[in-house]
Amino acid sequence: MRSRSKLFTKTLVILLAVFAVMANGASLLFGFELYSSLVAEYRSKGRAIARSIADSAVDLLLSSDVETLQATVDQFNQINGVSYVLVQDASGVPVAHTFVPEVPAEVLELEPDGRKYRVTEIEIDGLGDTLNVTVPILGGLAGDVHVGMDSKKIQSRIWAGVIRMQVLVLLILAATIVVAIALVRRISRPLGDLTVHAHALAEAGLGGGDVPAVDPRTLASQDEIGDLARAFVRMEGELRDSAEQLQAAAAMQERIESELRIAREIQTSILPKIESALGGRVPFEIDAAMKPAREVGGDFYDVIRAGPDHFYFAVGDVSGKGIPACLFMAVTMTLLRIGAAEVLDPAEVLRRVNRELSRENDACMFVTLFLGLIEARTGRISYSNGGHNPPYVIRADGEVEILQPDGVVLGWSEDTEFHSRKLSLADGDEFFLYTDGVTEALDPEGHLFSDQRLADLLAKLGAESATELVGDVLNEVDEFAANEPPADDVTVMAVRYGPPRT
Amino acid sequence: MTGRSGLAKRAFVVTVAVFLVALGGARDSAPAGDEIVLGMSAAFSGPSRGLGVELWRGAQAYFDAINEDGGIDGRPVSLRILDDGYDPQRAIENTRLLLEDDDVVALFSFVGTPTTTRVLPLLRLHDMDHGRRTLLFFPFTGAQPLRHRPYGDLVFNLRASYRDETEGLVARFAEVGRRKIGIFYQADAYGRSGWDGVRRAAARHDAALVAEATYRRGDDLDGEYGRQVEILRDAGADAVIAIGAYSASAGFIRDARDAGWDVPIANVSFVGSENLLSLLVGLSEHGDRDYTANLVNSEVVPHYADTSLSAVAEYREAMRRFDPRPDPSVAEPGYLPLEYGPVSFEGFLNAKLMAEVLRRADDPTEVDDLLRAAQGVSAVDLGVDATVSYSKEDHEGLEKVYFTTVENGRFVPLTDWSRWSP
Repeated sequence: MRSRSKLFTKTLVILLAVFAVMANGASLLFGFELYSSLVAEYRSKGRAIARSIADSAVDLLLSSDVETLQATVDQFNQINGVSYVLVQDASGVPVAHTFVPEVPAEVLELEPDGRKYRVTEIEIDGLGDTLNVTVPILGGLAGDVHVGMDSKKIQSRIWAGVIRMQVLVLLILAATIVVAIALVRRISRPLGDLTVHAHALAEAGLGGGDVPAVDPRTLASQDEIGDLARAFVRMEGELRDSAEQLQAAAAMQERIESELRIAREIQTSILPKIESALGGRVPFEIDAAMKPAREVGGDFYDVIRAGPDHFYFAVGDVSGKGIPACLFMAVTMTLLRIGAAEVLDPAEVLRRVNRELSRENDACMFVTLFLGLIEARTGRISYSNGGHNPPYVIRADGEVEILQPDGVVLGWSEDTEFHSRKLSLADGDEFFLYTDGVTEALDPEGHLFSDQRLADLLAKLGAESATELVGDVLNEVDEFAANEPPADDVTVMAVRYGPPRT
Repeated sequence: MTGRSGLAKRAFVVTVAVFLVALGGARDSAPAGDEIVLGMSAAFSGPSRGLGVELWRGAQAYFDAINEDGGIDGRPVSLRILDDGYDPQRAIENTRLLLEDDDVVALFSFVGTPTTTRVLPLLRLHDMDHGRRTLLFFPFTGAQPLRHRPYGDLVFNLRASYRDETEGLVARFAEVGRRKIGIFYQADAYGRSGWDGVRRAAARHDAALVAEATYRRGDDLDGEYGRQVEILRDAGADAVIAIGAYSASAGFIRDARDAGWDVPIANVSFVGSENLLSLLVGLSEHGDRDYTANLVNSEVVPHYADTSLSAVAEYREAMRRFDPRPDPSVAEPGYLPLEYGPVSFEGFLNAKLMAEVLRRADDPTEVDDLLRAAQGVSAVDLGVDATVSYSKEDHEGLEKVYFTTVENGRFVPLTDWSRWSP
């Protein structure tokens, strides 16, 4: 596994480097310390021995007991590090010594230094470097004691010490490497495990597929690796949950979208084909269009033939959106058509529709509805407004009138009273109806299209036909909204009396 | 031993046994009081083992002889031997064991200067700490510390000292005009003792100690002694006195002769002249050189072939009859004992005088009695050409030194030194 070997190599290299520095530093220091302490030890040892011999030599020299002196000297010569002992009498004659075969000239030449002890480093043929300690006997009056401390022993002890040290360091190094390998394995195995798991997960995806489980030992581990593994598994679970939620949400969206599509289809299909609704030639022109919002808004329009010379036309807007609005719209249009078939009085029709809608209106929905009744022969219109946006009248000479706002929304109360009002259209006069999707259209900066803009637009358009007027207004609204899909249904209807201009 | 006395002895043993059983078997073993036990630590192994073995053989031969005749007042004498290999440390350990052994009434015939001089303080310490003085009789060394304060009172010497021997050698060499003395000696107390003797003698006889060379104790015939020969020869020595053990001395003589140096070489008694000679004869047989030429030996006993002396006849008779061999658990095997020699003769004389002291003591197991008996030895004739007398102050026995040289592969008494006149 690559991650393991990388970790391993790095750890090993660092370990080796640290150890090389440590071992050499320690050996240097150790060697130096050893040398200093050994030299000091040898000096004091040599001095102690020489002093001790000098003390016991006094009596022996004075009683001429050189055998015992020799025996004494021999005893001291057995001490580790002592390479020779020499006792000279006052005249410098060696009276006891441990040299074989003779006292070297280098030692005989050493000049005693009166009463003090002295340490001299000399090189003796056959013995090598020696630390010679000279101690006077009776202040030099009875002779001198020379003790040779073997410097070679110091060297060899230092080497032995340094080598032992190095061996120890190497052993520690070996042990550390073994421990490090075990440690790195312990760390990298779960990491590798996690890596394999993560790779498998990436390949299989969150949705499914077989992903090997993370080793339970790794999960149980009470260290950072364990924390990491547990965090990883927890994160994986959460990812899976949110992926599922996302899928569920997408499915829901899908369902809603299809519901909306159905609602829109219902909405658009329920709207009448105006030409067939008129059922033949009439001296006026009606056109309407509805641009549905992404979510069905509940706008509708209708044209109903009520007799040989009478035609109802209506624009409404159901409160709320979606399926409920759509259904409420359908109910409203059904009730409207039933009412329109029975009486030639817009107010009475609204009264009846309102009564039916208000009854058992648990959802508290309501609808604004403008209902007009045009007499084809005369161009006279009677109308009743149920809280809808007041329509405009555009006279043939270009004058624009707006009707007074009037009435209360349908579905609010059974007892609502509606009133019929009248106006008359001459040739070329236009009657313009719309829903709040027009005046409340928003531009990208969030400004309303507004009633004023609509009034100004109608004043300057000078459309030649109802169809043209409907198209122009819709285009203008589209342009205003920068072709963004409308937030609410946009519905317009135009009635033009008289033959179209040519 | 006659059948009758054997029967009587058996009857006695049975009676004693019955008596002891009747007493309830209070003692586990028979009393050791019957025997007079002497402790001996010597070299029974290593390059100087010939000395320990021969010394013991001579002594044991004598004790065997008197034990055959009923011992000392009916008590047989036995030697408890321990091997120290001529190593001072082991000699100390052995001595400690002997001192702690209640059966041992005295120490006897220790071998060597470095060993014995180190043992002396132990004897003093034992005396002071336990109030039990133990005497050392007739050590095989001529060193001075056994002959004066502070330890001289614990030791009785039979042999002459190294000072006596070296004095004799230097005097003789000076007489024939060889006054430039070189000394080859063992680097220890023994060598130092001889060195000191030579130095003192040279001063007395208008001679000079012109050069000295040492060797390490334990070096043997395989050692190299060329450097020592060179040192002495370059200094112009015209006589060499060797204070060594026999194997090292033989090696030195070999290397001197091989270097073409035919100066007279004298050895002292400690060398064990017969042991030295057998090595040199062996060397001569392998080469075309006679390594036994121009050799002198100083001895502290008369020549073992001088049968005009009653002790010599006695000695030879006892050696022939008993030919004692040391216990192989003590002595290193492989040593071929000599038929006769100065060392075993000295051992024999040591034993003879020891028996005399034991006989004189009221109770030989009481050290005060032993001391009194030894101090009372006066003009005792051991059968050699001198008598032995001790007193409270004087613990020196013989002082006479004998000289020998090799002729036809044998040591013979040396009387005419003029052959070495330069």
